[in-house]
This record gives sequence, C-alpha cells and structure tokens, in this order.
Amino acid sequence: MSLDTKSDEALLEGIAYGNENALALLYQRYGSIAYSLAVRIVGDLHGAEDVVQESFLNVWRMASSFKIGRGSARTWLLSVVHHKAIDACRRRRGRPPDIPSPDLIPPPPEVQDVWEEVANSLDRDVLIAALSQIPAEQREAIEMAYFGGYTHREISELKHVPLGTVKSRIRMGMEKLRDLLTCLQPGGL
Amino acid sequence: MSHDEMNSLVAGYALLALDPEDQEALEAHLPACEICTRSVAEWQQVACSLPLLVEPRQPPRDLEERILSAVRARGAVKPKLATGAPGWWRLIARPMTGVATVAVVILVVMGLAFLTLLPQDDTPITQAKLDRSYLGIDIMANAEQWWRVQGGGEIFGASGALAYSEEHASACLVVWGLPTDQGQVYQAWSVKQGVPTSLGGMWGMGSSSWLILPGDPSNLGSLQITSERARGLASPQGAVVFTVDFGDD
Repeated sequence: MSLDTKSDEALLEGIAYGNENALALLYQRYGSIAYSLAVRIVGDLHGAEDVVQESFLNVWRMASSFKIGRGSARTWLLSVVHHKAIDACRRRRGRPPDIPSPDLIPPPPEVQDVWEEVANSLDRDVLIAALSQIPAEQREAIEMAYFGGYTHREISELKHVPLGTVKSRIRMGMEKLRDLLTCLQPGGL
Repeated sequence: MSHDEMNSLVAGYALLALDPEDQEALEAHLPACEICTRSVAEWQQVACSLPLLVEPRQPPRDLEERILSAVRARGAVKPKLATGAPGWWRLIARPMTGVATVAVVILVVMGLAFLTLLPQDDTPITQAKLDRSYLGIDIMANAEQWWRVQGGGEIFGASGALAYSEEHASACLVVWGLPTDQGQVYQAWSVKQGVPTSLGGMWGMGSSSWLILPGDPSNLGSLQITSERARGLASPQGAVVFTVDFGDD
C-alpha cells in the first residue's frame, strides 16, 4: 500500500520510525489548515510560517508517543499548532505564555464517543451554520479565547463583564456548539 | 475547588483560556480524575473544529521543504523520545538502565499487592491511596524517562525513582527509606522566585513514599520536599530533605 492511501494515524506511526515521506504527506494534508489557523492567530505571514514549521518539527519529535486508537491525529496536530500560535501571540503582547509548553503536548487521551467521528468529518459550512445559532456573546467569547489567545480574565476586562459570566459564556457556548454540530452532521441526531 | 467547579473549567482549558491559577488547579486535579480527563479530550475535539472557521490560505510553496530540511538538520535520522537525564535532575539523579527500570516496576507492583493485604504504614491504606498509587504505576509503566534518586544529609540511605510519562503528562516520584519513626510527613513545594507553593503531601505505602507531579516537572522551578510534623501546611516549616533544581538548562 502506498503512503498516500494510509490513514493519518498510520502516517504518524511512519513518522515515529523516521519516515520523512510520511511527514511530507501529513504536511500536504494539513499544511494549509495549519497555516491558515496560524495566520489568523499570529496575524502575520512570517510568524505563521514559523509556527507551522515548529509545529511539524514537534510532531516529528513526538510522533512516537502517539498511539493508534487514542484520539485522532488531526486533533493532536491542530492542538499543537494552536498551542504554538497562542504562545507566539502572547509573547508578542509582552507577557509570557501561561499555557503548557507546546514542545511536550501529549496526544489526546482516549475518547470513544460519537463526537470523535463528528469532529473528523466536519466541513466549514456546517461549522458556520452551527456558530450562527449560538448567542453572539457566547460566540464572541469563544473566538476571543481560541483565536485571540485571551484568558477568561482578559476577556472579562476587555468586555467589562464579570469573570463568572465569561466562564459561563464559554462553557455554555462550547456545549451548544458540540450539540449543534452533532445534530447538523449528515445523519446526525 | 470542587470537582464540579473543576469540570466547569475544562471547556476553557481546551481553548487555552484559563488564567494561571485556574490552570494550575485543574492540572493538579486531572491526574486523579478520569471524568475530567475525558472531558478535556472531548472539548479538545470540539475546539479542533474551530480552525475550519478560518479563511483557507495556501502556505508558501517552499515551506514544506524548509520543514523537511529542518528535520534533516536536527540530526535527522529518526525521532526519538528523550532518554537522557535532563539537566534539572542531574545533581541528584542519573538515568536508570532498562533492567533497573523493569526491576523498579516489578518491585512497586509486588509491594503494592502485598501492602493491600498487610499495611505497614502508620496511616491506613484507603481506596484513594490505592487509586493514586495505581495511577503512579500506570505512569511508570508508560514512562519514557526514568531516573534514580539518591538522598543525602539526614535522609542518607533513602533512594527512589522518578518516572515521567508523556502520555500522562505527569511524573511519579517514589522514594524508599524516608524516616517516619517520629511522625514525619513529607510535603512537596514548587519554589519560583523564592516563593513556595504547595504541591501536596507525599503519601506513604509501607516503606515507600509517593508523589505525582502533574505536567512537565521542568515547569516547576525548583522542587523541594520538606519533612513536616503536620499535613496540609500553607508554607514550609520543617527541614528540606530534597531539593531538585529544575533550573535553567
């Protein structure tokens, strides 16, 4: 079987054994979304390239700790990119990142529920449709956190709302997003 | 913070939105809570749908080659999990051999099995204690890095092992021979810029003392183990019996 028919998880296994072609193929699958995410968070093209490069180097070094059957490779890879981009974003704001070192992001713990399948088959239109049904203040809090790198307290200060309100908005918004995405998927609930 | 309060933070954790104090509290809670650990994984899946919102962009054509060149430049051959002792542990620890590693795991497992039948410690073996110890064993069973720990000073003769598992993102410290004959208890502290923060007390299982450290130990600054006369102190009062500088490498 050629490499390009292999699953993401099989590619990670190949990477763990030092197969550069497997890394190249993983990049070809996810380089664009990784770069797009990094540009959105970091805000400039050069910084985004650094984030993507560091992220794939991280995958190269840590692939052997990924175990097939535990979470998805896509989730792990995008988590690494997100961590590194937020790290870069916060450093630019002049404060050290409070997040764990992106160099040692472990693969996700095992999740055996319907959501993993949903998350791996989403498309952009479905996500946009789902977010449009979430109250604006909840959507805004989620986007400020995920794309802006702001913490609960920072969002509270920027939006002049109590800290507890921000926490609730994020939690409730994420719960609604999960439920909506599950329902909006073809064949969903 | 209660379990429910911790669980309410998990969505924010998956978005990297927690403030430092909430993050520390949750990360200390996670190794002992399977429910919250599973919640983290689930919310990370939800969070990883969000990149689809971003307007797609094509990366520069040469970025792939730059990544592969960087891979080759880094020694390139094959990604390996680190096996050497990091600088932060070198003063009192050294890497263990594979045989020693297996021996430690077997010793710990056999010791625990025995202790469930015959408690030797001065405190009862509760289910919570066993659960934490089994978590420690699981960390050891999956650990990629092992080091031997040798005590000095008033605990000369005490020895143990530190195991770090990337899968658990936690380390487990087990030390044998810490004296408890005068009612001593051992409490761990993270010391950053001279300010100690409690990491909790080591718990005893027979003649061994255990501690699970959530996250990458190198983020702790300096780890101190103090000998105390009471548990749950807000600041260290007894003698320091271990200091591990996670320093500046």
